[in-house]
Amino acid sequence: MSQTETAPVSAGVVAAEPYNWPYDGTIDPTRTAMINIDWQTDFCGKGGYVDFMGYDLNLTRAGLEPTAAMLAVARAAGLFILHTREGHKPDLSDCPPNKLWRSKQMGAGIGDAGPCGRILVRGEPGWDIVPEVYPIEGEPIVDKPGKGAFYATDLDLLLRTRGITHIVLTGITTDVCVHTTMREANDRGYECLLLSDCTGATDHDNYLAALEMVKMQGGVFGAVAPSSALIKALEG
Amino acid sequence: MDLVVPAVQGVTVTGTVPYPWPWTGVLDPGRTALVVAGADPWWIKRSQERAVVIGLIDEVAAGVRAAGGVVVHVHHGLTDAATSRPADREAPTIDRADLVVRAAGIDGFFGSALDTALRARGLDTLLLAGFGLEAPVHSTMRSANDQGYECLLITDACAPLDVACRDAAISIVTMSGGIFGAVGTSSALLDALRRVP
Repeated sequence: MSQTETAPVSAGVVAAEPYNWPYDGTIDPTRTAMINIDWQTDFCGKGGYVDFMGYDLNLTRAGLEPTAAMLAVARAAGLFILHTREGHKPDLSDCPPNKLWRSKQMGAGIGDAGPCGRILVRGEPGWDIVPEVYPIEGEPIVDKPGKGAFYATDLDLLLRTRGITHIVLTGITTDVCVHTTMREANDRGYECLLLSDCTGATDHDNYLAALEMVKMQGGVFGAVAPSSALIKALEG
Repeated sequence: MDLVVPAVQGVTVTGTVPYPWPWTGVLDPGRTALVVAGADPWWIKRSQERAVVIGLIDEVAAGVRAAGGVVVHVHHGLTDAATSRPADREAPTIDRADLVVRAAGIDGFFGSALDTALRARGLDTLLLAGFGLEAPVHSTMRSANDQGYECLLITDACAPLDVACRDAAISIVTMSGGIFGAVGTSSALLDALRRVP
């Protein structure tokens, strides 16, 4: 399917796999959202949750620079920009007991004190979004208790109210929160594009597999493209 | 009066990764449901190794029913016209005691009665199996986990869309201490169900 990357595309169309995106014509910035998933210190910063568990931060930080560049273009093009954060209430009353138990087995218990404050707790330094892709005024931040950004949040309402039908995804981690959110969005009828260089996982093979899983069966969850292809489509 | 609380003598499933499942250390079949995702012709036809997997799901389902658990078959899409065609009856056996739910999404919880049906029966421990390991099974497991269900992916009772993606689909579940739950085999699960007192 690699010929799609080099195939000529018309203005407003993203050269993507397994099909040029969007499926229904050209990008309409007024109906397109860019959702930036969990660019938090806890997942890509020193002393955060992922660092505490011993994973290589270079893998989750790999997409940070391309995302910052993509954000600037998306803002200029007038896309609806949103950000998400995974985290729990300070009393952990919204944290399922098995999730809490598993984190403690890893030696990085949710709510425990870490170098960046209490792990995965709302309001703590480690829970906030890293400076490279920090939201600007007017960009909603959706706080979520789970992996999927649609579960137990007002994300769907924010998108519908704005008339959004198409979603571009960046964020971490590819195989967990980004994939879960893309699956939820696709089930809800949103046409989705995942930016392959604006995301990363704690395991490189799982990152690659997650991209493949989007493209199965003709694009079971949408399409995948590098941010350069979206920038080209937006800037003409 | 002081009560002597005995140490919990629970059964867990042998060999599950990354932790002995379930997390409570006590497998309770009365709180357990086997959720067969993608159990409709559209997904079954697109899955590899489906003949073997149908047989294994039938075995697991029989064990779950015998132990007092519930089996739920999830069909996806808005019409069941396809399932009425005789040629499409290649699917796991549906017992009279089983539940069948239809979901609007690839996630079995989206646009379906699945969550309501499970909660109403006090079922909070889920065994995931089915067709389209990377799609309906994974989406349903992810959704279940976010909602607090304790999940075990029965690896050999899941038919992948692409066998090349199977290892990654299993690995993803086990990251970060079991980010979506744990993984194990049908034989280990059946053995555990027989060991429950």
